[in-house]
Amino acid sequence: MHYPFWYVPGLTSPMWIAIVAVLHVYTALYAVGGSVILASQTSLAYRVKDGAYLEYLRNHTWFFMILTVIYGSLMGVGIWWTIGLASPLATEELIRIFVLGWAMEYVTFLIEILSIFIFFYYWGRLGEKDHIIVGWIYAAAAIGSLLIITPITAFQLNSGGWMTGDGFWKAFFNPQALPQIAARLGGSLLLGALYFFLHSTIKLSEDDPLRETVGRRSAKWAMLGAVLTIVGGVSWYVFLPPSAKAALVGASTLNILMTIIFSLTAGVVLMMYFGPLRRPRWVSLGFAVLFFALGHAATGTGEFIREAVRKPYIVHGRVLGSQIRTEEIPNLRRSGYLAGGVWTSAYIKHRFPEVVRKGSPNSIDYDRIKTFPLAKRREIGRVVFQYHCGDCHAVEGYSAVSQLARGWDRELILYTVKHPERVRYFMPPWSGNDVEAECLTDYILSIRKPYPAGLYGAEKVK
Amino acid sequence: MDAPTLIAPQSPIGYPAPFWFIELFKVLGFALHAIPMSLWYAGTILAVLLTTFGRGNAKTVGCHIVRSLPFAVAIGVNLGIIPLLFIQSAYYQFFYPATILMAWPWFAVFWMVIIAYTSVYIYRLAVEGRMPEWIGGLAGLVASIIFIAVGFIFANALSLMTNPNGWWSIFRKSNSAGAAIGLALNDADPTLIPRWLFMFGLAITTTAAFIVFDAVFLSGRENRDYRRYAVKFGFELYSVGIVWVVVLGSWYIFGTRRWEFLALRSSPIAQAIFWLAAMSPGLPYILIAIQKFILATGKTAIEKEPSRVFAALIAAAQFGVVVLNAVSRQWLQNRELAPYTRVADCPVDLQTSAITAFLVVFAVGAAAAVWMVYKIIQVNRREFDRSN
Repeated sequence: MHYPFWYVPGLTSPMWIAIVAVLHVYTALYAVGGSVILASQTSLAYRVKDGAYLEYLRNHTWFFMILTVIYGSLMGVGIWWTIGLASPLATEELIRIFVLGWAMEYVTFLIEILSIFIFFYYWGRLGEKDHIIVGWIYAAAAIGSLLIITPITAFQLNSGGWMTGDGFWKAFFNPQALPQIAARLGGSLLLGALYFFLHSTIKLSEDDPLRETVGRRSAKWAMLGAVLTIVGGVSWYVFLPPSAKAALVGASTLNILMTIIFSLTAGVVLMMYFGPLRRPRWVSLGFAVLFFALGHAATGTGEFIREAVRKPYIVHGRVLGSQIRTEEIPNLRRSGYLAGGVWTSAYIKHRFPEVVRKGSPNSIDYDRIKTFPLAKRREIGRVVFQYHCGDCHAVEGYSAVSQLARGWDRELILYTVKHPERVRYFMPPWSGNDVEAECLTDYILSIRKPYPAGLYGAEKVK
Repeated sequence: MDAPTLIAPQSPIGYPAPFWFIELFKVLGFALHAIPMSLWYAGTILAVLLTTFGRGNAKTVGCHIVRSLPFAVAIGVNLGIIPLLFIQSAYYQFFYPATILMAWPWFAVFWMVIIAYTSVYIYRLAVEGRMPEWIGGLAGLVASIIFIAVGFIFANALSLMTNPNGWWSIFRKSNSAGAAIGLALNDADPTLIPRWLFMFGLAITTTAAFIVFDAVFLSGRENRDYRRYAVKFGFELYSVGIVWVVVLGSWYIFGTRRWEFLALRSSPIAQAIFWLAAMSPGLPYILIAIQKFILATGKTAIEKEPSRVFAALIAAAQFGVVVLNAVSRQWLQNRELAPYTRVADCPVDLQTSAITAFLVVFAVGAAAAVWMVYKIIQVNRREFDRSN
């Protein structure tokens, strides 16, 4: 409402953030975990003068570079694009607090790019020692970027009661920072190893002894990653804010996703132990593909959960899913949600010039709206819906209100509109006045699906 | 609808650093981004022409550009985030509405760049002989069209950002119950086309300077004949670029920015920056011309070899051109937004220790970068000595 809302029918614009973020995380984690494995293994191969292993690592670096630099880094840029479009107020808030953190992260990104290009294109042209140093510079920069960005995203989940003026470091070292660093670092080593398994099974023949070497050595890193992931995951849960813990327990979708992620992670760790670590020859192409898919499913589920448990906040304690700051609620309830928003107010005044009070062009005449016919009230309700509800609900499609309110009567809808946080504690509180609540109710009533026929009591529901 | 009523309220959180610090890194970030960006913006289409129709050394120039493109795109895209970050820090009230009103084209940018970047790699593989030439040419063409289209979208977003008066008419035509549909462009703005094409002209001059620099410092495996040719070609290309910049720059400033141009009179510093920026391409152009003249008339072996000192000076002078343009763009941007807000007047919640941490990370990063670049220059020198 401070900014125009980007209307994406069927999906909701913030869902783009989740999609782009998950796609980015797959390669971003590989960039971190893979860099550590590459740097350590290149050093080892030089030390033991294993030419064949070096050649394999060079081959893997090309694949690594193409994937992480083209796709990974551009999807990272894509997150910037998407959050600014779909969640401008939260982005504004985060940038004000963390711009210097992001600036540090971009220094590490630039070093990553420079070093990976030199690492690959000057392979065999740089001296051995310099080449190893470049590899470790890359790994250090990749880990550095993870250490900087993770606390920023962790802040969104638990700001630790941060208040304006509390400064950068209190925000940076929020309660979720260390748990998420541990979990992500672990996840990156795990995922990095899965890429190595897959790549080596494709590139090396079954009887090539190198395949065993790559499998066993990568598996050691993966086991370290598994330990870190478990430690990080448990502490992540411990340091969740109460609202997020309640959502994890209370929301059935999240229950299922949590079960899936634990099962997948446990499965991957067990398979890793009995497969690549104990009997590396077991790792066939099919096994590696399955491994790879399971690892990605676990990572994607984890990211989705991380996003979902934040509700009702986009930035914990500060910015709500309804694109307003928490401290704005009392004022908006008094003055009206539409009147309090820059673009909502401009639109209503343009569309319904009769609601502009004479002598007071900045306010909206809600008494006049009360007298509007139903069609006009629904139209106003639709504007409220776009801005107040559109972040999490489409009309049809993702989290569709037409389905969620199926068969509801006016009374039930009006109660839910006025007290969403009581009906579902992970919904943002109502931030408008009574007239807007009535208009929104009229609109939802017009889009909600009928109560399914044939059910007990269906005939009583109009 | 009055433009000032569409501007979001100021953030309750102050700037984390003094405004000059934010502005400095925004401008510096843009200048650093503009160098590699120019190479893919004007260089890709040039490379397609040279590798398709060129023969001998002309084709080699094209191949050299193609070889440098993957790195240029990677580093340029990431350098581009720095000014974007600082834009969002200080100019968020203008940047977000502008980009949301044209959400779909803006959202398409990074997907388009992913396709272009993949194409660039395919192009490079073809140039290295690992793929059929025609596939490379096609991939190069796709990449160059995408890069030029992305430039157009950027010109739209940044011109719309400084044109709040244009927001309402766009929003009115493209909304659904008050929410932006995001399919609009800032096509009614007369500054759009000259702005877009002016940047392309500037990119041609930077590509020309790069060709000379690359021939001297990064073409250790090529012979002297190629290096001499590259200087001559760089001169010719710079000539095209300089004419382009003069014509499009005049259209942009005198045709669409008359008011801002007149406003220059009130500020001697702005006037000095503007004229310096306008005249600045002359310096690298003269330096390339001198180098070309020495090569054509020189008699000793040293005089027949393109000079490293000259190449470094040309690169430095071109960086100066880009910096001066970035500074004058910044002046213009602040001037355009002055009727709505004074970005410099926002309160500051100074994050001293975070600024220190950033400067330390910046210094360590710069040291690592310098060390790595030094190492690869050493490698290139060794290879140069071996091949000569």
